[in-house]
Amino acid sequence: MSIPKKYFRAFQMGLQSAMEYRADFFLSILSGGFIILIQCFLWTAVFASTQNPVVYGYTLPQMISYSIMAGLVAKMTSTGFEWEIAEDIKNGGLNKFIVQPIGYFYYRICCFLGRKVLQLGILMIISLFALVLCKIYLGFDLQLKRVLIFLPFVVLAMVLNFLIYYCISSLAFVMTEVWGVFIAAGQGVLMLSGGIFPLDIFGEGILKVLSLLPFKYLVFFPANIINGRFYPDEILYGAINQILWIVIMLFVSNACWRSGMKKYVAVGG
Amino acid sequence: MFRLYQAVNKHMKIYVLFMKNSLIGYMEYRANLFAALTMELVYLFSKILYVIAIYQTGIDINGVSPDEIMLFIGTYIIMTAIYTGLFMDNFYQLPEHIRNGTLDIYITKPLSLQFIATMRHVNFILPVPNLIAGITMVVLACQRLQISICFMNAAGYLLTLLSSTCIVYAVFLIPQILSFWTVKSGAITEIADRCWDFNNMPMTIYNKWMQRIGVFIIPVFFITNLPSMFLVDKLNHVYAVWMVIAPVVFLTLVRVFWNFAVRNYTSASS
Repeated sequence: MSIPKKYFRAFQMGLQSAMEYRADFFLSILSGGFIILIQCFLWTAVFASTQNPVVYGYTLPQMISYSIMAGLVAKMTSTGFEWEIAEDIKNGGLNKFIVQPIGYFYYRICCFLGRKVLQLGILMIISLFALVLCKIYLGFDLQLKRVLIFLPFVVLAMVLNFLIYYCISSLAFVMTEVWGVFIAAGQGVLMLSGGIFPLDIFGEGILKVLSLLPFKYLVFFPANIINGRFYPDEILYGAINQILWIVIMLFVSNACWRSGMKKYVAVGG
Repeated sequence: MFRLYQAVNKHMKIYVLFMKNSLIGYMEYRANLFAALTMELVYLFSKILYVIAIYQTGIDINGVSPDEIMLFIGTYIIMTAIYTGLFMDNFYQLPEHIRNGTLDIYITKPLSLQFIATMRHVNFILPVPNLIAGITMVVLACQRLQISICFMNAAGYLLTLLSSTCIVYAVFLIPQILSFWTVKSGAITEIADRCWDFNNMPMTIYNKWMQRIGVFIIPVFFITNLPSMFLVDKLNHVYAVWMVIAPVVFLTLVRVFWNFAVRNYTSASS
């Protein structure tokens, strides 16, 4: 089988898997919607209780749109394959990838993108619908050009998140019980990426430190593009940083996996 | 009356044994212990993030000051400790018992099936960081709000927490009981878990109707709000009476529902 055909099959497998577990996906959107709902109620109450039209540098429509978009972008970029990788490492499922002419990294990323493509489409429609509602009811300044700029940033964020979790999943080579680390990492990444609150709440100093890390490009940056909080040069700078982080994480994940494979004991082989 | 006393006494003794077994289990699998601790610390920080976000604004949200919000979130964290420590593991395992037929073994035991299936495991690890942080936040908020930490306040607060604990048990067990019919309950569990997050903030941020539903019909807001309202002296007579009645109503309801569900149980192993 030719290389493109081989990995396209992996992509198809991911797509099929997403279609198979569609009920699970919709229910996860529903449960994720609760957090967005809490945030919307919270910020509406905050703005209703103050004379100041701006809180943390956001107006009410911007804050509501941020809360909605942060929740949805976090869902768009979410992974889940790390559990499968840990299972492969623990139970020897990785063995077949060692002996077969298929690269584990390429297989995983193709599966991941296949799984995401359908979800991304649905979440984009939901996002657009929510933003239009924000525009109608809150007077949110929704601009088509921002939406168009937002799209490639989300795709890059997805790839960056994949690489971050691919690195984290390599911990399964050295830890037998890695579930706690995965859950902690998931919540930690969500916090540091601005998935719970905009990073502005941490203050100028911490925001500067967080800007040196890749996480802000997962949620905070794409969500605020929609909000129109960045000038064109800042967006360009953000795009360069995001791509730079993807390249860095590629090298880091490669190094982690190379070192992990040296420790790998092919259980059941 | 004497038989009731005997039954309670027997179950209490067994519960101590359950606690002992759970503790031994945790000491045995120390890798799990550290993994759970790491996970809970990160979750705890994300809850504290709400306090940070509100405190920095310095705004009274719908008449609730930042200090009062710290009290609410502190109570929420204490209740999270109680839920994760006493119930969560058992509730998550219930669908497994039904699917794998391990519930059969429990049926044969000379104990209440509901007791053994829903209270067998006690988690000693997850509640620790939550209890420390939650109690610290409540005490700190009380000091800032100049609420005296006297015997009456402490006893009253503990009683309201006890009432909330009964509600937690009833409200979060009901979705799991549905697995007697659905067998798999991953999505139900996830939605129920997300409902827990509604306690993250005082219910005053929601509109009146949501508050009424959240206190009287699906008493999710009951859990954190009412104990905190008692401390800041905002608990009106209706809520005070409801704090006594609600646990009885919902525990009875869950008992009836459990018995009904067990009658529909078809063993997976036979």
